[in-house]
Amino acid sequence: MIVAELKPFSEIEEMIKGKQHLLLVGCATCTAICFASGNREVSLLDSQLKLKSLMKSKEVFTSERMLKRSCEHEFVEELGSFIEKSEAILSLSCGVGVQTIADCFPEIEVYPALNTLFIGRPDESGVWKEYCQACTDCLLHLTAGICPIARCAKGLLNGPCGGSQEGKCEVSPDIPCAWQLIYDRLETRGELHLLDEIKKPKDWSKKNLPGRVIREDLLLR
Amino acid sequence: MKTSSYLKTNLKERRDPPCRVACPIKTDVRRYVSFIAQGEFEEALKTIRETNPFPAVCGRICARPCESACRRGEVEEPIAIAGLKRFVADYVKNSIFPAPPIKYREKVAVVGSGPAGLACAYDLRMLGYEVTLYEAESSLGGMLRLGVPSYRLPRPVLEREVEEILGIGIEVKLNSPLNSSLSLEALLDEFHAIFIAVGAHQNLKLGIEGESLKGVLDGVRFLRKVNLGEEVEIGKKVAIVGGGNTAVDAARTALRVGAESAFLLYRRSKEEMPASKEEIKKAEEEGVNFNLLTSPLRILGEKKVEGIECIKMDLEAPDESGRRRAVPREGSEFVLPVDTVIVAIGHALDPSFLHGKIEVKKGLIQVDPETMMTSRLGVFAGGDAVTGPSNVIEAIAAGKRAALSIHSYLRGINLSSLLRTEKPLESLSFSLKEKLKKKPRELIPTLSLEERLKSFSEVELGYSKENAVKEAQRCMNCGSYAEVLSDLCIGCLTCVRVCPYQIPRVNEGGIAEINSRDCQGCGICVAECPARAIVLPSFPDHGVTVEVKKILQKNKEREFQIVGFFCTFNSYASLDSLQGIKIPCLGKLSIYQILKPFHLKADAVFLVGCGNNNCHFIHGNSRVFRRVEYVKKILNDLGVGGERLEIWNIDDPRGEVYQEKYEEVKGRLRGLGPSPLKACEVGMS
Repeated sequence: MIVAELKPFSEIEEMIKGKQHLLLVGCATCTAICFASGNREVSLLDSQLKLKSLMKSKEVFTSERMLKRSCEHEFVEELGSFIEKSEAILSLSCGVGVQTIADCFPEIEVYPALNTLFIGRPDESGVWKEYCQACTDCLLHLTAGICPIARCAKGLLNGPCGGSQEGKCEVSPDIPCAWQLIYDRLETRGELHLLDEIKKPKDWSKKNLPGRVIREDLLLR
Repeated sequence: MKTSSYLKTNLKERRDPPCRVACPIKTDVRRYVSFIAQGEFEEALKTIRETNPFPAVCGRICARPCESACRRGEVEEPIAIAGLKRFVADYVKNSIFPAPPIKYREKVAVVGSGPAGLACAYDLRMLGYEVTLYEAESSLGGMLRLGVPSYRLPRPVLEREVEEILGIGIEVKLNSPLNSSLSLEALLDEFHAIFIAVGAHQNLKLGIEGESLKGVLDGVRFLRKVNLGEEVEIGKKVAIVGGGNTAVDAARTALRVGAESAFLLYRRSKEEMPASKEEIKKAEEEGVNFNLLTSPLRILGEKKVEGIECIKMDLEAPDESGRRRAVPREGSEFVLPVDTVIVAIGHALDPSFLHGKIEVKKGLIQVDPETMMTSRLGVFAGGDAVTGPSNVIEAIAAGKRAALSIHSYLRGINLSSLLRTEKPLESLSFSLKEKLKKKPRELIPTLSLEERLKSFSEVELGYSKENAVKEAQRCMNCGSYAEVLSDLCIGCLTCVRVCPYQIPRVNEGGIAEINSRDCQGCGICVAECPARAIVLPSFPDHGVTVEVKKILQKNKEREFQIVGFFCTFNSYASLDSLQGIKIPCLGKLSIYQILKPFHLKADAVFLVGCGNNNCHFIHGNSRVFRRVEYVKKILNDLGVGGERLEIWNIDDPRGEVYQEKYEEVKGRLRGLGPSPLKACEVGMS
């Protein structure tokens, strides 16, 4: 899932400066699951905005909406009837969602309430970690299902490096060395021979920027 | 999504706690026990009195079907529901009720002032009918006064309760038996409906040789004499025949009026005895000898009783109805040398006063089981006279049902529309039982054995306030489970992860489901769900807001407005000195609920957990500690100041530590000054 977190309140405050009528828009997909954009966090941000406005004796009028997915225009267009009274939209979603809302309603200011962080997963309740860098050329079949691009600090294709100490990365003792993990798992499986072949540098030309996918069979035009 | 799981998540049919379903009068047990757990004793008594005009009586002698159904009993022992009822009935002194207005012109006569008659009269009067109560004896109470020994039900307790019932405006005619001078016809001329609840006061006979010898006593009459303070002639060695409450009462009473030994003869084993288990246990403690699997053959003696010849019995394997037939064991006859025999094998109605005006079969008045109407239009009957000897709660239930039926008869309302249908929660699943904390029952203190046998003083002494609160805190609040709003659920698994009991699961459709049978209603998932897709109907969001507003209003004139939240499951829960909002585990408090008082311009908020790593819901207390840290950060970011929010765990039965802490908060506020929100002019809803 896409992992995001709420921006510091002071940043949000700065963004919305001067705006009195705000529409807070949450997203019920990835970023809701990582406690950044669900109903609960939208209400909580709303509650903080109101507390702050009380302190400044400057009333703020907010309304809350929740979108099924902020990254698809059909869902985003549902906001149409709610934006009339708003001076700006505060979007709690990943960067894709913010852009989709801005594309759908170019006449209104759309502010990101979240910082989009990475593609990852919760390792335990309250802890999310990065697991994929969307490199476009997956090699997990060669690395025992452990991604060295995302999980090795150097993104080495042939590891480990000399900085691997007792299974930990030299960058931080909290980070396990991805290449140690790969080695250990291959060893259990009896597939250490997969490490014999030196992996050639990745063909980064495959990663077009901006990335795009076209499926001719699905086109409607 | 499959249809079956769709239905499961969309049908919101709530189940009732088994205690309430088991209660013949559907007392809201969970509600009043929860009031006791919070130290709200008056509210608890009010709740009981909504259905039961006899809290002090039932608190002592109820057959307690609620306790048999209590799901806490599946974990270790059921909640001592009757003991708790007795505690509030005795503790709350002020329970006078004003007489309701007479709403209807129809008048009703109730014949018999036992629990059935009094309950019926009470309910009819509460409904707005004018009621006249006829009693054959010179005092009220029926079997409660004549049958139940005073060591189980002290007479001042009964009298107070009867007075309270009459206090709502019921006319009483004592010494007025139905007979030739007061006939059913005469009553029917004056009243629009009659309820007959005359009880069953005629002792059944054994039908064996020697039953007419001097020294053979009739159980009902024996108890009645003792209860009325009359002289009874009793020997030194007494045999009591029977296994019901009358037999056990007679045996224990015999030991109190001079018998040296009492032998209770019963044809089956102890398990089959209809008497209450608690009473059997107390009889054993007091030295009653139980001659089980024993049946009397004849009573021996010339003119007076010299012994009783008995035979040992064997129990056959259970038949289709599950009943085990007792058969005599050949050659096992023996003689028990006794000088008194008390026959207590049952009692029935003496139907002679009815003069055949109403259908009676085998000593029981025949009624329509739905409406309780007899063969005579407008004449209803209930209680022991209809069912044979039963117990107080069944009698009260009969009286109440008759009152409703009479109301429906007089007003032409459909009776079934007045009755509540219920569906009990299933028993706890095996895996859940293992996870629940074991909390043994608080013992109800009793009089010492020596004291008991010397007098008719009440044997059970009742709970102290502290013990009652502790006992009530064991209640699992069955049926106050959380529900998923499937439209909002995002299937994020948070509930699955945070539940201390591993109850929720996410179905094939990606929607969370919470099993109503096992959910303990701790509210942790409700507070943590990122989609706000779980609700706990017993703890709505707005409930906390209302309480916060009340406190702030109350403290308006004080130096500072401080809002406290307390865990109900705490040693100090019943202290009157605590000013704050009682929460049945702080784990229910969400981040916004903690923030709410600040919105309403409170200067400080504190939470007091249960302490001692003893959370009723395992993780509730630790969850709220983390939430408080999060809210402190928010308050700092906003410039309100995280130091205005505090949480402590204190185990403090006398509230002293609490007072110190409270002063500490005040001291800190003097340094911090009032809430920065106070300066603003914008209102906040």
